[in-house]
Amino acid sequence: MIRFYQLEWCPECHTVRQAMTELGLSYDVVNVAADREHRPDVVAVSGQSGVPVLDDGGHAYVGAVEILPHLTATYPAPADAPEHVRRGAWRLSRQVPQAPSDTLARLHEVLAGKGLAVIAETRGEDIAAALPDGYVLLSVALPEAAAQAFAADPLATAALLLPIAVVPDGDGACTVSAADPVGAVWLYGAPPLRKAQHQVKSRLAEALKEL
Amino acid sequence: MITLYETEWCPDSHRIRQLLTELGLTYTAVNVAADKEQRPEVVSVSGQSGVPVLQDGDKVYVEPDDALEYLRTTYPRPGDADEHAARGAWRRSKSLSVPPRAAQARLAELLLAQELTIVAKLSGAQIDPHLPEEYVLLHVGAPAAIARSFELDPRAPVALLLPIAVIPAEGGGSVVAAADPVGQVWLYGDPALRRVQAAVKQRLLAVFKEL
Repeated sequence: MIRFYQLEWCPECHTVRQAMTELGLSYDVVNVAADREHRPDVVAVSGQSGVPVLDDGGHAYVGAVEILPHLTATYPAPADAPEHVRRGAWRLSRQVPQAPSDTLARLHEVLAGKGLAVIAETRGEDIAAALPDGYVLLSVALPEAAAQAFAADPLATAALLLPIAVVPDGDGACTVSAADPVGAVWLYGAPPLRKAQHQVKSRLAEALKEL
Repeated sequence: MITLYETEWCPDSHRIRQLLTELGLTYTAVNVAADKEQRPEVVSVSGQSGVPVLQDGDKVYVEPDDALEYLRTTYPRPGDADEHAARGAWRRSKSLSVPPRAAQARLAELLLAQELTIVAKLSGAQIDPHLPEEYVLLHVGAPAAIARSFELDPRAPVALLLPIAVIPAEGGGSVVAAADPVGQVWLYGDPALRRVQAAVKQRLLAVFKEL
């Protein structure tokens, strides 16, 4: 039996939980204290107080760096593992065999066709000198969803505008890449907010398909 | 004994796991199949195939709000529950007694002092006419962190700029709200990206402290 010492808000714990979802594993979860000085259970099993710690059959693995190789080497990936990976990726992107400038023009068209408004367009060089020529960041909104998101949760700043980047890949190709709108508010958990974001997500998925 | 039928990428499962962390409870996690047709264990426990399903002894909850209410009213909140809640909120806000225009001026000063650059400034009206007239959304970034994030993961546009809003409040005051920079990339799980964002977060915290 697997015993997992963890916290929901610990990013590395999330990485391990996602892997266990992909592998379809059942396990016991021990939620530890916020204060590292108050984790005698973790110390007893692993000799230190950080999480994540995974105890599998009496052997303790500390940190994602030890846990992930153990899990993938020990448990076979079931047939639906790739679907869990896809659902847990929380971003949408599409590689296009066109130059960034042509892709940007086409992206404007398909976004407009889906009712997604480009509120701002910022060139990479105006964001930071290190970004390559041709990098463009669009801030996009589905206005009715933005209004709903604002009504549901006025302080959820990440819910209003979706950043979509045109990233040059070299050789005349580029990738259009966006955060998943639901992923952007996932951690806040307010269901009405997620509903508004679902609308944005389905429009975006359609737009990327048409690129 | 508590059992949670779930998947890592399911937002309602996250809400329940977060509360279990706040309450410091130990439970068994059962990761279910991606396909709802392949979840006999969920059907046998709850008569339907959706997740999350929370089981505690002979009690079974299918509605996430019911499960949350049950946990809140059944188990005591330990001393560190609020600390877990704060760590799991992934955003920050502060109410100010001054009107939005003054709040924005003060915010701009503090951002500058932390070497955080305002790359774009959008008004609520530009996003949707339902947003209040004085709503302002800033896109903020630290040039060095932007360069490093792009190098690590060129397709993560949310890692470049942070949305910070100044929102008019009742009574003539305002609220400054920001997404948590680490929360923005948390789901992608690239540890190097999270480290860059943690540095941005430190600067943001300094801004909020002085607001």
